[in-house]
Parts: sequence; structure tokens; C-alpha cells
Amino acid sequence: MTANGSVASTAARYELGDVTRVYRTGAGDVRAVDGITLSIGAGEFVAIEGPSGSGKSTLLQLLGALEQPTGGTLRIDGQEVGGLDDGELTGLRNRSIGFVFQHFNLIPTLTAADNVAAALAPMGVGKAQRQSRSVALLGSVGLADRVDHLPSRLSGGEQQRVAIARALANRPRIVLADEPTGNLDSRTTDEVVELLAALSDDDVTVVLVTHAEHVAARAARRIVLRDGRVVDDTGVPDAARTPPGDERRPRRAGPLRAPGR
Amino acid sequence: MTALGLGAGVALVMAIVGTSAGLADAQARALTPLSTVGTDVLVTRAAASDSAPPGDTVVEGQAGGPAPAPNGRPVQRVGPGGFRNDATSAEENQALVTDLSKLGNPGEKFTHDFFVSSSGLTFDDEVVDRLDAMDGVDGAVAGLLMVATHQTGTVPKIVAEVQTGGETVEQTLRPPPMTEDERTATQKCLQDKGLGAPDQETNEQPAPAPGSGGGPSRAEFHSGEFEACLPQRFKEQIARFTIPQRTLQQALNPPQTDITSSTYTAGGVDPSHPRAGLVTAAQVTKGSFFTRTATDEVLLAAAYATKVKLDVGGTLDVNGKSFTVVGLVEPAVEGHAADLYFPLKTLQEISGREGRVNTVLVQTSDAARVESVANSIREALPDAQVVTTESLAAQVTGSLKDTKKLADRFGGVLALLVLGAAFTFAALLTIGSVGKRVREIGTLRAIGWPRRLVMRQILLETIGISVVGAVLGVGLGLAAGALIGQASPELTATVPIVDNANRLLQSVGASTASGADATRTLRLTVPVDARTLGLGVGLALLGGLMAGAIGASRAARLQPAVALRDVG
Repeated sequence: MTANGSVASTAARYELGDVTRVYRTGAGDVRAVDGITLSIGAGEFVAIEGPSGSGKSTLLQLLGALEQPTGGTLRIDGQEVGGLDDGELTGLRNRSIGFVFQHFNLIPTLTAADNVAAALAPMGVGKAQRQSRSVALLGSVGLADRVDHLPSRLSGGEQQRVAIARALANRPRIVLADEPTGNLDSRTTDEVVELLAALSDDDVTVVLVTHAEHVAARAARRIVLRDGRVVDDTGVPDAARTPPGDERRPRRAGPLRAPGR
Repeated sequence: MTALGLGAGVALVMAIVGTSAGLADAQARALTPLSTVGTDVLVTRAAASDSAPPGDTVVEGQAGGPAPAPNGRPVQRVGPGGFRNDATSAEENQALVTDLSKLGNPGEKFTHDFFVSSSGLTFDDEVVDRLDAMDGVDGAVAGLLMVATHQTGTVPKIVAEVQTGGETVEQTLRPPPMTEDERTATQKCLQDKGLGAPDQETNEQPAPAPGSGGGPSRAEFHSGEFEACLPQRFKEQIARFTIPQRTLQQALNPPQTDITSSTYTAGGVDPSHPRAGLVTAAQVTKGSFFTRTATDEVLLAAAYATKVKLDVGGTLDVNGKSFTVVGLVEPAVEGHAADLYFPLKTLQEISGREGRVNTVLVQTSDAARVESVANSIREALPDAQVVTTESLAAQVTGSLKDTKKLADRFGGVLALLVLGAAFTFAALLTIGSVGKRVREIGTLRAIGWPRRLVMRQILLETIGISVVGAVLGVGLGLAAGALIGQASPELTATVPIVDNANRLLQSVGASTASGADATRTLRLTVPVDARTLGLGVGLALLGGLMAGAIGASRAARLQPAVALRDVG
């Protein structure tokens, strides 16, 4: 039985079929993502791991509709990304995806609340409504008393929580985080990871790229990349269709380096 | 930073534009008094020898007529130059060679003002009526411009001793021998007197016997009697001499005395024409214009009044006549300005030039006819120098002209350069800020900001900055204008004039107020009007818009993926 609409939308946020992303450089083509097939369901908490140059960031960009694949099919909520123009990609990002960055990427001249509200700007939401929603979101990440602070007056952990509040502003179904704890100390790292984990409990799909073992360990599913390919994918929920993976191997970031780039 | 750069550029542009406007203003001010009163053509009579227009019949040196009486006018005649009673240079300058001894007895103190025509030669004022009657002429007003030398000192003792006589004239006369008749008459006379025959007597005379006593004694011979018998022409010799007449010429050095002299220029104005003339009622800056029947009133050029420390209500004496200062005027720079203005008739009197003028100010009935009227005047008065106000403006020289030329030539280019630099600066800074904000813009794009919104944001920001820049620039521009105004650099404007009077004065050794009548010093002001302000603000906004557009288009081209780039 194939109950298309509901099943597709709830069961598979992402469907990747042999996705490739080739960058043309002066030194020849670089296959940053080289034939990845996988799917990620709603409410999953996925960590993508791999050494530098393994294609993690490129994969995250593809998942975030910031880039388009050069080959294969990539569906987000059942919608093929390949043929979308810039405006449609922008709309998709705005509606469906929240981003959390390693460097927080807050607008330095705006207060915490205005930073959150900035994500609501393209939605045609009224100013008062934006403000109240921003304050509520900041409250939900524990920053009710930092609403009017400029980023420069917030700690790294606080800034990242503002960024998470911003990522949630449009009630996205997906939150993508690029090394969200890379610039944080261990205590605030835990706070941020807990926040993200809590999101997945609310049926939001959370995908984070990380080098940190203890952060990745918090994720239910761990995908390991090397040379643009998936070399490990553990903790895949039974519901999701997965390629036959090996048993979990202790293959971690560290001394291992991909040959070439 | 961007705002500051843009502001500085706008301020500079405003300052340049303002200065340029100020210069135009100054030039207008220099010439306005003339043009506003509607004088279109100036008629003077050139000093024949130097500056007669080419092709002119010149009466130079032909002044064979009677020498002018001290106060007088030569006998009526119409010169080939079209002027009646045209005086020659020599006649005009008669005043300067006035005998100092006429001023009083030697040793006495004297004060006297000598007047020389400063604007060409004088001519009979009947010309004014002739010009007035000409076709296309709306009105002609007479003016008399004089350079006066004011001298005070002691009347010098001038003794010219001419010794005559004392020559000895020697002449030897040989009367012709006696004729027969004379001899006979003489003999007869002698015989009558009993003195014997002249023959015997003559014969006997060489050998008279000493001491002989017979006959008529020679001792009784009275020479008086003998001489009485001589013919008339032997009794009296008349020699007639005519000593050739000689005229002795001797150049006497001017006597050294304590005479000090200063010069000023004087203009004669018809009080019955307050709206036209060398100076008009409109040019009065303090006090009032002449009354219609004024004779003992005088108007002072403001600058001259300051120099001699006179103000309205003050008095001054010229050649024994007392004048009251009734007003101060701001004269035009056109070379026909004076330090003092007298009622025309009065100036004619005190300068000994009754009925004579040297400038006619002509108004034409139609501005378009100025040139044709000027031409017909040239035709009617070949000896006249006819200058249109327009051509006069073109002749203005001096720092005003130079600066104006500079501003005209380079001001625009400079303003453009500055403007270009300011725009480039603003654009670069905007692009730079877009560059610095790549992550920020990428983030906005990543979280779903469409290109449009990003562009609008950048544009609005830049415009906001440019508004700040405009305010800054206008502020700075006003300050710069005020600063230039405060420093108020002096500009001079000089109009070349036919100035035989000055040359003459120099030759006599009198120091002249060299060109004081033709040069005027003006202070530069930098008017910042609504137009300049609008220009400044407009430029700032335009610059902001341009810079914003460039920045926005760059921002729009940014890939949202840069938000994830692992930089800084």
C-alpha cells in the first residue's frame, strides 16, 4: 500500500538517489559528493561525520537547498530540488529549513530579538507579531532576559541559542546545523546539543555536521562520509529504507585522512 | 565612514559651486551699478594722439586756434572729429601748468585743487543734446570725470631777473666831402662874419707867422662861429640801429617748495537725472542723493570716505568752496567711477570747464539696438570713443576676472572630479562593506531572504548613510562657505581706460592714485542658497543611490552557500 502524500511527507523528509555534486575547478572536476543514496525521515536526529574534504559540508549545502546537485535526484518533502530556480529555492529554505552555523552568523548590528525577527521578514509577518514571536522563541531557548542585547554582548553559547531561535522562527520541518558546537566550550556545547535533540522530539528533522565524538554520539543516527561517499550509516530507524550497512565500526575523525583532498 | 566620505565630497562640491556663484555675484556687483541704471553706451573722446580708433581723422597738433583763456573756451569751431570746441591735449592740461605765483604772494600758504580731464578730452555739452536726439537713444546724460591734484604748501618765490643793456655800440662815420654849393655857402658865411676867404685861410693856415699881429688875427677866430657856418649834416650825425629781435626761451625747473600733493578723482553728475549718470540714486548706500538744485553738495565713494575719514554730514573745501557730504555711494568699477561726485555744474565751475563734459552715458530704447546705436554714434562722432557696457564687462581684468576665469574653467572640472571621487569613494566603501558582510548577506539568503529583499536592504542602508552624508556635507559645505566668506579674499576688478590724465600727472611728478578710478576691490562672498543646498543634498542622495545600487547588485550575486564557508 502506498499512501503517497502522508507517508512521503512524514516518513521521508529527504530522499537522495545517487546524488552527485561536481565542482569545476581549474585543476579539473572535483566530485565533492559522489553518488549518495539515502533517506532521512521526520523527527530524525542525524549526525554527519567524516574527515575534512569528505563532502560533509557539500552534503549539508545540498540538504539545505543552498546548492543543487549536479546529478541524481534530491527530494525535500517529496519535492525535487533539481529543477528549482533561485526564488523557489529561497522560498523552500524560508519555509522548511532552519540553519544553525558554526560562527552563529548573527547580524552584529541587530539585537537578539531583531536577529530572530529577521528570519520572519520575508514571510510578510507584521512587525509587532514578529517581535512577540521573537521574544517567545528567545524565551524558549532560555534567553528571555537577553532580548535587547546585541550579539557582541552575548556569550558564544548565548549567541548560538539566539541562532537556534532564529532557525526555529518559521517553524521549519528541518533544522540543519554546521558544526554548531565548534566554537563553544563543553558546558554550552551540551546545552546546545540538548536543545537540538529536543527539537527532534518535536518531529523536526535535525541534521548536524560535527567533528566532535560526544556530539555525534548524542545523535540517533550517524552517517560517516569519505571521499564523497557514505561509508557508514548507523542507527537508521527501521522505517527508513536503508542500504545494507555494515555493523557499527569505531571509525572516527582523527588520524584518518582521505587521500587526495 | 561612507557617510563621511560622501559628506566631504558633497561639501567640497558645494563650496566650489558656492564660490563659483560668489564670483559670478562679485562680477555682477562690479558691473551692476552701470547696467542696472540702463547705461548701454559710454561716449568719451579719446586723447587724439594715442587712442583714437583706427581710421579716425585726428586733429592732433592742429590747434592753431587762439590759446584758451584761463577759464575759457576757444572760439567756436567744429573739429573734424565731430565735436564742437574740441580741446586738444595741451589745452586740457593747461590747468596743470598754472603759474603757482598766481596762488598768492610768495611765502603764503596755499591750498589748491588742479583738475585734469581723466576720461579723454572734454567737449562741449551740446553733444549730449545731439546724442539724446539720435534715433534709438532713450536718453543721454552728461558726465564729467576729472583727476584732481590737491596741493597744499607755500607759494614759492619765483624771481626771473632779465638784464638788458650795457652793450657798447661803436660806429665810424665818414661823411661825404662838401659839395660846391656847400663850400660856397660856407665861404660866404665866413666872409659875412669877417673871417676871410676860406681859400686864403686855408692856404695861410699851414704856416701861420708866430706872433704876427697884422690883419685879422687868427686868435680872434672863434670856432663857434666857424662851426655855425658848416652845412647842417656836419653839425648833427644820426645813426639808426635796429637790434634784431630775439625771444629768449628758458625752461625753469619747478621751484622746490614744501608743496605736497595728493590726487583723487571727481565726477560731475547731473542732479536732475538721479536715475542715470556716473552715479545714480540707486548706488547711494548711506545718506541721500543730490537735491535737484544742489550746488554745494558732494557724494563720496564709500571706500574714499573711509580713506579720508569723512562721513555723511561732513564738509570739505575745494578751491575756496565748501561742500557738504550728503551721501556715500558704491560706484561701479567700469573705469568711470570717481572718489567724489559733485553736481555737474559745480564741478565744471571749480575745474574751469563751464559747459564742458567728457562722458556721455547713453541709454538705448531697446537692448537689441545697442550695437547699432553705438555704430551711429561712431559715425556721427568719429573722434569719439564709444564703448558698450557689454564690451566693458569683457574688458574687466584683475584678480576677480582671473579667479572667475579659473572658476569657470576649472571649477566645473574640479567639482566633477571631486564629485566623481566622492562617488567612487562611497561606492568602494559600499562594496567593501558588502564584501565584509558576505557572511551576513549569505546568512540572510540562507534563512530565506529573497534577492529582492537583500538588495532593498542594502539600498535602504546606503541611502540612509547618504542622507547622513548629505546632512554632514551640507553642514561642512555651509561651514566652508562661511569660512571663505569670513576670510573674504579680496578681489580686484580693473577696467582699462583711456587715461591720459594719469600719464600726464606722472610726467609732472605727481603721484597718481594709479587706476584708483578704474580698479575696485571686492570681497568674495560665498552665497549658499536653496539651489546650492538642493544640489548638495541631491548629489549626496544620488551618490548614495549609485553606491547602493552597485553594492546591492553585488550582494544579490552572492551565493547563499557562503554563509557556511568556514572563514573568519
